[in-house]
Amino acid sequence: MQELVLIQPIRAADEKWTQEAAHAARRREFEARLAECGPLAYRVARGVLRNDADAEDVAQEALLRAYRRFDRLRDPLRFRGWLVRIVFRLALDRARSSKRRELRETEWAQPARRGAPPNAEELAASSEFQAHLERALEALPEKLRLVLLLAAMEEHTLEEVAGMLGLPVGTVKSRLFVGRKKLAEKLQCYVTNTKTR
Amino acid sequence: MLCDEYKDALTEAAASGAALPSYVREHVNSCAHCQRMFAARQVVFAAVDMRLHTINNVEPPSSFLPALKAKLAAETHPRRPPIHSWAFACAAATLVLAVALIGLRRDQGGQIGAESLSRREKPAAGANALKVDPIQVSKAPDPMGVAKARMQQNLSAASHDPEVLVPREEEEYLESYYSRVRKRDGMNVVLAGQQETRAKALQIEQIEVKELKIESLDEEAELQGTNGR
Repeated sequence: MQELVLIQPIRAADEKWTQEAAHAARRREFEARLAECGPLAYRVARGVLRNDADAEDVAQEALLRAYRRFDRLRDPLRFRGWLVRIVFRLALDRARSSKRRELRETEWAQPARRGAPPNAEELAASSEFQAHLERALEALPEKLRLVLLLAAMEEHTLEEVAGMLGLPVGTVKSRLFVGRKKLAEKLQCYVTNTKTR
Repeated sequence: MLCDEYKDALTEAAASGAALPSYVREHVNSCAHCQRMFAARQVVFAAVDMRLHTINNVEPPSSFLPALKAKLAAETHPRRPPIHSWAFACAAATLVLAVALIGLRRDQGGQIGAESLSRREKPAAGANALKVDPIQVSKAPDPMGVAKARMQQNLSAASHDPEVLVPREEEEYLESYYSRVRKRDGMNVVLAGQQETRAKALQIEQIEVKELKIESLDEEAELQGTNGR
């Protein structure tokens, strides 16, 4: 005997149609954010990895992951911060897993002594200083590093960074100061070898 | 005064770009060492900021967004995360617990009811006029509940779509057919088709009746009898 099932084809079709329409709307909404947040994702990844190909790869992976979890985001205003955290986490994982980091650590060396202290532009342009700064950044705790990256990016204000990370402005300000101070202490040797009395 | 005491104030001023406090400025003006240190810190902070700004504002390659959009297009609909087996186990355990609790409460309720019934049967005869049968009370239908159930019935009947009995293997085809019809606004197509059929007049071909040959049954029986012989 043939088995029969009782179905409601119109309701099923309606549900399917509603579901597809919702997916399409969600995708349009996500794509609208891409133009604004795509470059930010790339920059965060690039800031951590300092490699264009890796940064592109990680940023794309993070954006796809964000798209898949877009349903879970309750407050659309927090999209930027949410995305930044996804990218940062993925980029750190990638950096940890890559062996380039070990190579860089072996390349750590003291800077050559200079005769006269250079000015800020000369110093920033020097490849030795750049390499040293990158290593110093890597050595920073994650929470300081993320604040430094975001504050230097796209002319973000302290309030914007605080909004993205869900932190009070005072905390962001303090982390920024501590991060810059740590970097400056590590790079002080480039401009002076004087010691305080 | 030792220069170390000014170190933090100098660092803070160099980092923030703010003016030095007056007591620190006085010292810096009189101390060549602190002057050099302050200038060096200002240079380092400026160089760090410059470099951070440069490395963190790199433009993404032009292929970045198009490639991403292509990946998004290839991406299927975002799916809900799979429900793990432990979630099923938890749900089942909760259900079992809830059923057990309800059963337990009913048992206790029955015992209490029986006890109260036996207590109520004992009072003096004078009290019988006011006594209410607990069984009757418990069996009497709750008017609110009945109304609610009726309302739900009516609602569900109104919102029900037509149900169709189909062989199991055809279920999917039928649903996809309806969804296609729905997508292309097919309901209009179907309705239009119906209107057309109504407008057409029925055309029935004339029935052609051939000439009838009528024979009596007796003759036929005789014929059969002669054949049998």
